Amino acid sequence: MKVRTRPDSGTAEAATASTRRLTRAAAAARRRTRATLIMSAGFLAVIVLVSVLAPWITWHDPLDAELVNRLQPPGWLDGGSWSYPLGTDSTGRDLFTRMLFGVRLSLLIGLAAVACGGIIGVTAGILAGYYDEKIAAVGFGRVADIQQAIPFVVLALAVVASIGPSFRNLILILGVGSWLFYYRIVRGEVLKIREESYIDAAKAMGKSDAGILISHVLPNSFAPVIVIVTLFVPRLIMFAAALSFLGLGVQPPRAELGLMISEGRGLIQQAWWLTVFPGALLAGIVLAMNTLGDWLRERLDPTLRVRQ
Amino acid sequence: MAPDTATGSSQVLAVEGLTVSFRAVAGVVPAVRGVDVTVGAGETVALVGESGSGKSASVLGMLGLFHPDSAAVEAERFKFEDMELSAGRREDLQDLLGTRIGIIFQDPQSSLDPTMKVGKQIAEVPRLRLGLDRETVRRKVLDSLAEVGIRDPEWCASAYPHELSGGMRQRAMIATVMIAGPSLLIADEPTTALDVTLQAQVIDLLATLQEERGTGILFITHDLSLVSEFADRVMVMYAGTVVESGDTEAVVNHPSHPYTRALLESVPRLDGGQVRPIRGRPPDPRDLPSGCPFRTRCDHAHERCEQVEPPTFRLPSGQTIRCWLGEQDGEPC
Repeated sequence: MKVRTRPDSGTAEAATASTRRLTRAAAAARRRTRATLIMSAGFLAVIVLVSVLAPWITWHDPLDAELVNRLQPPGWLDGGSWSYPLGTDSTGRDLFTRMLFGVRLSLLIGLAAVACGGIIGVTAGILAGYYDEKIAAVGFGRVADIQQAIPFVVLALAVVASIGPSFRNLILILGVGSWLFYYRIVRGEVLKIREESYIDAAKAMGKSDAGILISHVLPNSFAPVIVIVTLFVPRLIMFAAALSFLGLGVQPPRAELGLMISEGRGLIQQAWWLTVFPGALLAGIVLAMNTLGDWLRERLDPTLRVRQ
Repeated sequence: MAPDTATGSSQVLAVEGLTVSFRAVAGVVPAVRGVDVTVGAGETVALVGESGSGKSASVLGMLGLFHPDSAAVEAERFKFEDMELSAGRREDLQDLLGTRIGIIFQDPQSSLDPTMKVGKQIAEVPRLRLGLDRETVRRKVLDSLAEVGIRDPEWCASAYPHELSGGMRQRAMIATVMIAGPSLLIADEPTTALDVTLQAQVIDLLATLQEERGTGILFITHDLSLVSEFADRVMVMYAGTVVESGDTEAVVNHPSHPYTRALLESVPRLDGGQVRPIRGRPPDPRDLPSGCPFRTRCDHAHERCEQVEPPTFRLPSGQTIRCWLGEQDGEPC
């Protein structure tokens, strides 16, 4: 008996010790995650607030060129002036002011594009999922397949070449370029939901199809949509910046982060601040949004939550 | 050969020659092959049968709840209250569903929308269909919750379905269906998902509501013992046809179709009687045996059963059966 208990208790002790170690490690990891989350959320809150209040924060106009003050370095460097805290660009416009307005525009583009793609994708997904057999539903799927076969940038180039670059077209391109992701996910959800007995019950209450779609199907398929939105706002902000960088998005003289990086690119040796500050800000915003998005996805997706 | 209405009062529902066929990949599946149903005001009719006997298919089919692409529904006659309608046409029935015809489904866990507060779901019919104002609707919702025996209607109305227990959910479902005062209530195995004590409570509740309002109830179940205390008339379905039908007393005390007898013997009893399962399996509706569909499982089957599907006979004890055994002392009808 004793012979058997000894190794048993030994393993048990080892097990508890290792469990304890694991728990401690997990707790530390959780603390780190929490700190990252708070930082991300705080950073984003500041960014949103600042971009909303941009006109009241800065004392310059983003489009006001003063050639006398061109290529001024940031305030803390030799030759810099605190009137232009982050320096000026090649036409003497205040970089800080332009970044404020640039962020404002980027956020606006991100949200508008997600709204545009989301509305198209969710509507198509719900219709296709609910009326699966109908020809229209099959049509959505084929269009999505064809679109997915074309690289996004190529598609964007083609569209811009035909309808011309502008703020409105940028939002349209990004929205239309991303609708299929909502479509796919929502259609899958709806295929599942339409077999639920609360849908039968609603039909048995004599509700119209439109009523069922709006009040039962839509709310029940919405959780994954929230997750895609959190993934796509930063992704589309990135894309918008990339397209503007390539000259396909927002047009000068408007202030937009991607466009500003592009404009500063040629001067990177004389005026590094023109590319570094907008670039860092863009990276920071996208990083913070992705962090929050990941956290949200883990909260909303029960299959990921088990891991903790 | 319309079955008699036991109560003699006005008929709420009268269906003759109902057929429902599903379009499947493997071909057309005849799930219901000529069924007559009548329900009188204040009467309870039970539709009993095994899974796949076509009991739910007949009811959901005639109310147009199957997708028209997947099921073909026909009936010689389909009369609801005083209206002659065509069976299975959702457009015809849309206005009646929810207001004049209520349906309770099997699974209370999932027949309430998880994203909508219970009170809002109950309020849908009075708000959207009856067009009542907000305050009246609110009062009606709370009243109907109280009526189905929910102790704290205010709380229940503002709760989400997952916050309620199974019994409460089924009660809420009943409140949803009964709030408009339908003249016909269809209960599709409403107690199957509940435990036995709750079953009795739900049945009592339905009986009480029926007594107060004179609702006709069409009760779909596989549990013949449940039916014997509650139903006025019983119809036993097998392979898409009604094999025995009549007053509950006659059917339960003098079961005459071999299938009904076998069904009653397969129910466990407290007095220790032997449980005798029915041998074999229900036939595949795509590949029914010739003649009587039950003959492959029947102890009384003989040659004639194989050749000709039996007509319906009315027995002296009052019920009708679809079996050659009825030929001796019954008369064809």
